[in-house]
Amino acid sequence: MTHNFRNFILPIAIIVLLFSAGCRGCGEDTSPAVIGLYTQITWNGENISIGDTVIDIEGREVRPEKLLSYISNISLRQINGGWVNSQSLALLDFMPSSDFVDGVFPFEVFIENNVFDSIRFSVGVPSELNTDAVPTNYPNDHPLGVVGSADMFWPLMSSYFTMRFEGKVANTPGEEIITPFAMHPATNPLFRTLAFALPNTITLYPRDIRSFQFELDLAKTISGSGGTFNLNEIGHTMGNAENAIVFVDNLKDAWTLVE
Amino acid sequence: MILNSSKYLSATFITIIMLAVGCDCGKIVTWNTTPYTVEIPAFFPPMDIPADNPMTVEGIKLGRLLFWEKALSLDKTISCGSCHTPDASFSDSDQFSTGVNGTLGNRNASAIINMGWSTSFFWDGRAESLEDQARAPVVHPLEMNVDWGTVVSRLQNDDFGDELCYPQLFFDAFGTDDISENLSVKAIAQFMRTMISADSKFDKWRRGETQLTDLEYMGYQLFLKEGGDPEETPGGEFGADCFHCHGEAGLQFSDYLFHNNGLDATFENDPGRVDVTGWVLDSGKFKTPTLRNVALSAPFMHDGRFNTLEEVVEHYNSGGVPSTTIDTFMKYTTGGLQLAPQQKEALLAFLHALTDTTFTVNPDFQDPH
Repeated sequence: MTHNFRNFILPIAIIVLLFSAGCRGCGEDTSPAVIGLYTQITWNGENISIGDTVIDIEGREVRPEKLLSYISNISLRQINGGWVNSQSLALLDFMPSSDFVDGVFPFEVFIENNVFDSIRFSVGVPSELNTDAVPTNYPNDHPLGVVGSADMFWPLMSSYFTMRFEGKVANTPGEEIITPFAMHPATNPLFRTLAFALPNTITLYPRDIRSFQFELDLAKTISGSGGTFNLNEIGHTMGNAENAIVFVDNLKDAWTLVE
Repeated sequence: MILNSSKYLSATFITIIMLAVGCDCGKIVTWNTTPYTVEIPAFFPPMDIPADNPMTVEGIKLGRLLFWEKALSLDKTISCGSCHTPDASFSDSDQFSTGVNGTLGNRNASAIINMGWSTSFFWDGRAESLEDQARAPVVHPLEMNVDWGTVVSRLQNDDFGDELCYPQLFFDAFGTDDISENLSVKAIAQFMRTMISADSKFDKWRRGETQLTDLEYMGYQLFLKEGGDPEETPGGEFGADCFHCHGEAGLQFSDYLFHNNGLDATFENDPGRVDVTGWVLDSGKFKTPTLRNVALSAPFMHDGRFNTLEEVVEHYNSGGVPSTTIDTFMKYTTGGLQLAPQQKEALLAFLHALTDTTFTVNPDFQDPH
């Protein structure tokens, strides 16, 4: 008799627990999927590494020496039009001598509405994290922490750089690569979001690992639909907002989805 | 109950073993350590403590003794503290430190200050932990020049007097009197993590406890601003452009990264970071030192070439010497920072406001021998 009562009460208890815990459906796996963002840097379509020498539109030698970029809010669009935002953030560091980096973003998906047709992400730190920012509020190795954000925090404005692209350029073709340039777009107005249609829809399940391959063409950050600027007249974009705006506006041309 | 019995048996077993090995300089007692919690100063980031080297009062005590222990050098003439002296903010006021047998080093000894927040060690960053850092000077031929086996043997067997029994101290710190290189460097690292400076005038100002003078504040603003004349250097703000490398976040005044600050056109004398990474663009790069107590830690640069802060400011003001890897923030193509005399004076005043003598005279860091 007691045995039978236990057999009866157990399923009831489980059902009650599931309802009280707000389970969306028995057996549903709510583990996140993972989105990988594989980014290859190029110069006019050719794969390069930081430290390589390339030629700009003026025919001058250019040497990219440093490249870092915050990537945030990587999102996928459901075929019904809704965007699912991973809410995650990473700092892509292409140095030393790296020609690509992988950003890894946990991404919550559900059984319903798990077919996607577009991907988007933002270049920079979202404004809610980039206003009166305090790196010490984060663990050291967090992308926004003191160590994790090294080189990317701007104390005077208490905000993070969107990207950091530095190097040197020759003044005329064939001359020594000597003149420095440093593009440091920063602060909320220079935050940009880029969206890309997927060539085919994808279906994502919990625990899936899905990698997207992008190219970032650095030549197109200098000359694109947002405008063109002369590398050896750049100096430092921080107080040179006009060029900084051109740089971030060109990102939509520079960053392309390969597959 | 089972757990208690097990503890009792372990303690008894350890006691028997210890008596059996015949430690001859102290009484063996059961091992109890006192956890040590690092007090994080205001505006500082958290300090990452390695999971395999938790800090204890006993470990720190041992580390301090080892830091000042001359038996860690070949001829027992120098300790870590010989080249990292308190009055120089635990750096060396000589350009190059003198090792055993009078040998001279080839880089200036770095100031030991807030190392618990650093992410790499030595001017070229070849050590990635304080523990690994502590290993190197002992065996370096230009420094202490002794193998760790000899050091361990000395600590294990030599008579250091009635008051100093290293086997007992290692037991107190780590639960074993079997002295090893690894435990030695762990203890030294624990001690070094306690060497925290956070009481300069600047710190007090940040905490609202005092005021900076107008000159010091002007220097602070210069520190934070972009360098150069905007007519010559796009983006320039007539600042001193210190913050790019001596980052203020976390108040450590270092980005912990590696830069070529335009000292030389070529790098034959000291290639720097490239010797660690093998990446040619790391040639001539060295770790950014903290600016804390910079007024006490002359001479300056990796090779101690500048004797005064005035020379340092003048170097940056000049823009530095161009080279393939010179940092993009050195104003070498546009005539330097072009700071006016009063601006230089202000910058120096700010740098002096980073001086913390409570750190250098802290009795917990002095030679205990």
